[in-house]
Amino acid sequence: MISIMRTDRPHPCQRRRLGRHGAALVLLIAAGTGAFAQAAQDAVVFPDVTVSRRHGLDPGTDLRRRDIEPMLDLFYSGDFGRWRVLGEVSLSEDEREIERLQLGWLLDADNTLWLGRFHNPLGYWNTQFHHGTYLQTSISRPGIHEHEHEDGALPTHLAGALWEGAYARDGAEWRYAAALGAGPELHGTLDPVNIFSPGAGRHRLSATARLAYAPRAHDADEAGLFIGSARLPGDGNPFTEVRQTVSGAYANWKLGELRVLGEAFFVHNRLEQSGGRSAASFASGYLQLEYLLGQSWTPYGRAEGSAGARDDAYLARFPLFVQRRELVGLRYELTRRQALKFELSEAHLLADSYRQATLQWSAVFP
Amino acid sequence: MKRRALLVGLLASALAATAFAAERQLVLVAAQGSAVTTLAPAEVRKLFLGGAVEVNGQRLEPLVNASDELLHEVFLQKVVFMAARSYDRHVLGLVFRSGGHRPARYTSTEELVQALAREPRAVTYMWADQARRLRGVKIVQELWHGRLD
Repeated sequence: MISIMRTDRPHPCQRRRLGRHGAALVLLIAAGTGAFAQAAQDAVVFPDVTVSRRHGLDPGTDLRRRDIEPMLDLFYSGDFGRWRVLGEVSLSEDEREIERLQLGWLLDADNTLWLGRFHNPLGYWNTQFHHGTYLQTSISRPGIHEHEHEDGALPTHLAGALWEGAYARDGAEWRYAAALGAGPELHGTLDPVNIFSPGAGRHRLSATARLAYAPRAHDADEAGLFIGSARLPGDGNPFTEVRQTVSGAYANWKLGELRVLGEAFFVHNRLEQSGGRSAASFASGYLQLEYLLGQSWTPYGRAEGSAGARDDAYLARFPLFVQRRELVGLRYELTRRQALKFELSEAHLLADSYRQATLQWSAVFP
Repeated sequence: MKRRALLVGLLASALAATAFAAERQLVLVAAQGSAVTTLAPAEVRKLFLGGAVEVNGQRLEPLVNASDELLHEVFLQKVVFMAARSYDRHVLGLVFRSGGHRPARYTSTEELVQALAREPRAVTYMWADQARRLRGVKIVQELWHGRLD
């Protein structure tokens, strides 16, 4: 077993600046929310407030016992002939970041070629819910899908080209995505490309492909496979580079009023450091069940687990990585566009364990 | 005996009248001058779920008719096969993932008809009897008919 390294890495909650370009994007979204709501453009605001309380934390922990986190996610999309622009900005007390900024060419009715910074189609959750908390039934994301700045261990943002599309036949649909772009560097946490300073930092090519089958076109039900390869330049503390290969499978299926959502990840890391090379692997997955109870209530539960996480030298750089977590929750639709969620969980991170109660209000406007 | 027959007759007439009153026809409509032609049911569903549907190289524009709550609910249940709550989240999720825009939503029939007139690529849904009464609107096809219980 390896020990958990605590480095002089920036804390996951380190403040990130949006910059002037980002501020312009925020203004565009704000204008779009009112002016373009009925046009070939759309602007959406996702506000949420999360109140959490943790019990049983280690005495020397960096994690807070009580937390109140207001957050705002701003989204804009506009079509200009065959061109499509898409942007998403996330604003919170600790973070102001352009999550996505994409320019797309609509190849045909079902295929789009994107350039820019986008969410890596590695798995399902990341590209299904992005940062729109209201859209996901639960409050928390599965640990394997945590974003880079939240101590995520996998590249969730790439900057480059993304091809997304679907092929429908006999009422069913094949959905696919292929991405090629600059991935994050390992500098404390994973640090993705800043779209307005693409030359800053050291970023190498990452590639991801995903293929899914949907038995009924345009429905949420689908099952798929994915594979990704990334070269993550390190800061020499201790790795000079990590070559990461990720593969896995997922399914999102509705059985009557029950929705079943699960993913499995297999991660292989080849670690290069001044003293030589080594390799390590781990697996992680989750299963989430949601039950629609009438029009307003959705009780849900999720179990997350991993194998080999404690023995992986790469994961030792991510002390907040979720080894195991069980949670139950309840979502209530306050109005057509507002939800109240309550969640109880027990989490075992690599460096800490705790029980948590979380209450969240989330909404979408307009 | 005559009285009983009369009663049965009256009851049957009342039941028939109720059944007739509840029989409704849901239709897809466009502006009078629109070139929109009949669509397959799967294409109508795709269009209102946020998918792209093109006719003669022109991308159709779906308009949500929220002027009548019952009409909207029947359209979602019988044509889109989705509950209103799921529909809103589905369409929002699609736009959030892949861009584009949610269908414009109209709570006023007058504004809806004006929007149809402005945009020849636009289509929406109405009760057939209402569509026949409105000027500047043409019925493209029947989407569903049946009794509302």
